Amino acid sequence: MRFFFRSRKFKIMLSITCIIVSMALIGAIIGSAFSPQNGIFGAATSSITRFFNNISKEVSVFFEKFQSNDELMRENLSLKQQVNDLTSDLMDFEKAKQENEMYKKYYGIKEQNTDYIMEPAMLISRNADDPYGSFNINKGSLQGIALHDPVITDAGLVGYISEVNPSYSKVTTILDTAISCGGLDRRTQDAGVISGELSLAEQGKTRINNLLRSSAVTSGDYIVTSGGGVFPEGLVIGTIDSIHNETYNTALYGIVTPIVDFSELRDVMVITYFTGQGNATGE
Amino acid sequence: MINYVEKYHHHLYYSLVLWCFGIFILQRIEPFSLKIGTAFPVLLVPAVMVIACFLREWSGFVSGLLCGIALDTVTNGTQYFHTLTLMLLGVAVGLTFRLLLNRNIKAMIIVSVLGSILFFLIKWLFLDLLSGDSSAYQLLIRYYLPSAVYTSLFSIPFFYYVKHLCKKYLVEQ
Repeated sequence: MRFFFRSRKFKIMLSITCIIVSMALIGAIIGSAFSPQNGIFGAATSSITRFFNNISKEVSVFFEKFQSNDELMRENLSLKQQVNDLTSDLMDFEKAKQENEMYKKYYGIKEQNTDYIMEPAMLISRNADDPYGSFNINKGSLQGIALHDPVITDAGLVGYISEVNPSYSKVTTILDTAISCGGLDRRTQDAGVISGELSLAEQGKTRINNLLRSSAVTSGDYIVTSGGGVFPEGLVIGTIDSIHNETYNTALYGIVTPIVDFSELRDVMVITYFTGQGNATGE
Repeated sequence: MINYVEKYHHHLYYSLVLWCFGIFILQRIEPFSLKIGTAFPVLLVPAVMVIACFLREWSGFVSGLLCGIALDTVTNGTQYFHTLTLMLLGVAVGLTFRLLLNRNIKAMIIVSVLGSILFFLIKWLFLDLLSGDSSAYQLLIRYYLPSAVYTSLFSIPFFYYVKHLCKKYLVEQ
């Protein structure tokens, strides 16, 4: 140990230590002038301090970018999840709203026809190869849908169920030549038979046949179902567009523009039961 | 041959200065502060002790002086506390290894734990207890002692790093 205390290095160490202790004491007595951050020493070290601080700051900023990037990514993921949840909620809400709107529309029909048991359905696909505009709905036998059940909208008659599967059904529209149902002029009570025709179906129209020559049916009259078969009575089919003479007999026929716009069809209602429901399709 | 050794001595010192500087900067960067709970390591303490262990008291003193000044310039209200403490710690560790202990990892860990505790105890004594901090004892238990133990852990990687540098640049005489 003696070698250490006698060495020149020890004396240098001691001197430096004494200087620093003196500066610390002076700093403690007269204030901060001798502190490492301020005053005389501070002036000498301030540039070093600034240098250290600047480097630290720059490096911190550099790494903070990555850190904030991570945070942003996490936040982004969380927000995406929230957006998905909210979109899902919104879709549910929209669905409920649409259903509500639809029920509101059908409420009047239900009030007038208390015997109706109705099942709401949604169009899931159109049969593009069918010129008569048949389509599929998202309800089938599992939901109580049966063959020949009438399909309506709040406006009027759409058609009937022509094919039933457990989870979906096919709807044949009133434009189809396969359909044949009794129609009545609501104003004159003149009766006819509604049946489709290919050339008319292409224009989105159908026809009412077998109108008596003496009938007072005229264009603009509303045609409704006469009832007593597949369809209950009183469902609006459409309006008379024009009246013509039959070629091979003395009867008249009228071109009917359906009340339902088949191209805009989205939600429908299937009447699964009504008083006097029969199974005569007329096909 | 002497010139050859001296040349590599310089390389060792440059490497150590750069290393200490790197550690100092690293600790100033928030993501690398290595804080765990209330334990905040002062990495320059084990660095000075490891340098003193390998290069004896004079190098311990100089590294303590430089590291202490660096710490004091960025710490408010400590006057020259870090400078003095690290200088004395460097000399003490250097002398301990010269006179009492062999240079190995076990001895380094023991000295490092004791040195770190001593450093934080002195810091606590002068900067908290004597300055009349009412929560001084709570600080000692919650902050200083965990920090001392945590700080001393860094002496293990530092020991092997400086050993590697010495092997690379220094020829044992």
